Amino acid sequence: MNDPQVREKLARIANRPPGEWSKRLEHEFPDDPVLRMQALLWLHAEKEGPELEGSPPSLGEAADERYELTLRLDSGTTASVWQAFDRRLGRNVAIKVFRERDQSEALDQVLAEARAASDVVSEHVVRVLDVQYGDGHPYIVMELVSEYDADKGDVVLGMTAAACKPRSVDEIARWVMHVARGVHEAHLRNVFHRDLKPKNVLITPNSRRARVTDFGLAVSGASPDATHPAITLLKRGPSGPVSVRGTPEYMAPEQARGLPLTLDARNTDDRGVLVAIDIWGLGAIAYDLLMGRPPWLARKSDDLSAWEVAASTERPPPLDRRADGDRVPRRLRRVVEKALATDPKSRYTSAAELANELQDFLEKKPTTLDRSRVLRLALWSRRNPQLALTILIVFGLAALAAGTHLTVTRLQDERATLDRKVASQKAEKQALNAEVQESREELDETRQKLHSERENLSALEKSIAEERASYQTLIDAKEHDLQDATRSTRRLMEQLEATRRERRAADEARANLDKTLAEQRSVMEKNAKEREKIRKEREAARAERDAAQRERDAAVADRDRLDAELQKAKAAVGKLQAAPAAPTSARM
Amino acid sequence: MAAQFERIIRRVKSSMNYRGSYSTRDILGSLVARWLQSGEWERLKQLPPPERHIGESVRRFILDRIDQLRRRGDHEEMPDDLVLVPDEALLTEMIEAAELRAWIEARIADLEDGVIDPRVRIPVPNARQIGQALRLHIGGQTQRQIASELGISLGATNKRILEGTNYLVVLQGIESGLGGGSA
Repeated sequence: MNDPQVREKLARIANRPPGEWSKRLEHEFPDDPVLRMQALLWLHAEKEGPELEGSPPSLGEAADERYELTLRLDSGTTASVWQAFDRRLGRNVAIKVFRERDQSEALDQVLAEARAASDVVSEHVVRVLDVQYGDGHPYIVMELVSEYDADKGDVVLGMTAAACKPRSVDEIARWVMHVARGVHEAHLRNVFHRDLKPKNVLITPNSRRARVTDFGLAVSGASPDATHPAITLLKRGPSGPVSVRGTPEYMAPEQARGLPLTLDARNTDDRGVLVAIDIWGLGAIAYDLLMGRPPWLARKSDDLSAWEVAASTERPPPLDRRADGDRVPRRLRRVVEKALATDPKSRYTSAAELANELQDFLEKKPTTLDRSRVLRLALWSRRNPQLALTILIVFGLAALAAGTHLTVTRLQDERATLDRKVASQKAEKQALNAEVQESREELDETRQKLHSERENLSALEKSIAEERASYQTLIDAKEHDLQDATRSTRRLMEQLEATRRERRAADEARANLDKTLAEQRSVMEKNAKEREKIRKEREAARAERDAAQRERDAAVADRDRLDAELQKAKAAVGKLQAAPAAPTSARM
Repeated sequence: MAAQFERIIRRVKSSMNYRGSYSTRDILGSLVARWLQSGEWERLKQLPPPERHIGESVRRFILDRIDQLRRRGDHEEMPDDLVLVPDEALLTEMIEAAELRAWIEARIADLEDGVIDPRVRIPVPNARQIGQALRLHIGGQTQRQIASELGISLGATNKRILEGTNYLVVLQGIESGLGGGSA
């Protein structure tokens, strides 16, 4: 039965009242109880289906009569926001419709906070007009942020700051300033937002003004926060249980770690805590709009959620360059960084103070953080360019006049000095001329003396030359004799040298001879010793030879004796042989 | 049965809502979801209910996470012995919600791949586009943004989300023992 006709049949049945569905399904699919059950679930789900643009939820009979929900603007966890037409007053409004139908403590709380927020009247806050529990879904009626667009001939809705691209850094500062003014108005009525983020800021389409909305997490003096009292995640020592609420990506660090459930805006200390959280929220909006990302993001590399990153004591990444690469102006960066200080006490003490700082930034006035005198002067000049130019021109002319006067005076002084110098130099020149004249006369006189001296000297030189010539002749002769003597001396010297050489050779020969003699003497002594030794050896040999001779002689004597004995024996034998034969037995 | 239907529909629809702002319960819910991913719940499910001690297990897990945070910075304000978690009944409810959310995300991934569970007897055309629309829907996109992203009309977007939600409700009913049966 899994065919396209199933959907057509279901569509037909869906148009019937729910009470008839089971019967109709049994009729259409009599043999398939599984399909009947699935189809019944499908039909119920479709009836209850998600809130779509085309199917606005019911606010209850009376409210439905008054408000016509025309367009869903946004959808959140607990509620959706609709554009609606108020038939009674003939105007468009925005209605936040809660999903929860049943009255609950949490919803009561939210609605009570919205009622408290309705007291806040500011051009920078979206006004809460009505809060109702109807017989349908609970709802909050708010001002619809829209403007008439003459070009389009129609009313154009505002967009959230998250969806609306700011045109410049100044526009971002202006939006945050508007929101800060609105938040300050709320604070003056003991209403605190605690969930400030670009999505909760609406920008008007033409005038591009920012208005803060959605005081859904607001804390007011009349309603201490007690939402979700059954859940206590963390508990601190003396301050009791804490709750964590807000948007993790934009939470103040202390907010992420949890705030006491008993926070009361009427208490001075608690009020300080709540103001500091909203100041952080304003800084977080500025940070997001400047950097294109919220202060905290989940880090998959560390497996940390945005909430965990916010709860740690890390600082958000530095505000330096925007996504488009432009630098964030230093003055604005300082203001935002102060709003985002980790220590709540280091932040601005009020939203108005932050708004004033941003206004000063926009008006090019020094903020409390701009302490440099040069910067303050530069900012003043940028704020008052005509006055600054006039003052600059006046100062310039005055400086020019003073400069000219000083220059003329200085030139006059210099001229007088030069005149004095010229006069003194003239006097010096005259004195010098006189001195020169005297010197010239002296010089002429000296020249004349020199001339006569030179003549005397010439005569003297002439006589000296003559003398020198005669002496030269004498010297030449003497030199000739001297050369002869020198030559004979040189020859004698050569002979002497030869003799000396011969003598040295003779000495060397004698020395060699002595040496040879000594060596020969030594050899002779050695030979004598050897001869003596040989002689002794020879004597020993001779003795040995004599002994051997004696032994030979003895041996010869022995031999001779033995030969004689042998001869005797042989003779005896011959005798025996020659004798007659003796009996055999005798031979035996 | 009507109450059971309503419970299934309400659970599926509430699990598909995008949470922009967080409450303590949401934070705890996200920690429970992480605890679920750690596989501890699969292990505990093998034990008889009285021996599971879910609260203690979740508490230990949260302490580990806080230890991680402490290592990253100064957290003397979070003494170990003062970390509390809700009672077991509420924790079980949160675990079911986290499981359901994980289940929904897995089924949306199936739809994106064009996979329809064969047990569902009601035809679901355009499965891939339904999956894409649901993915954007649970990511917090408005229907106008989804229509713009997918290049389809607002009416078609509404229809895809509606059909996808109905499909998930039917499938969740089958998982809960309603309308099951062989393919």
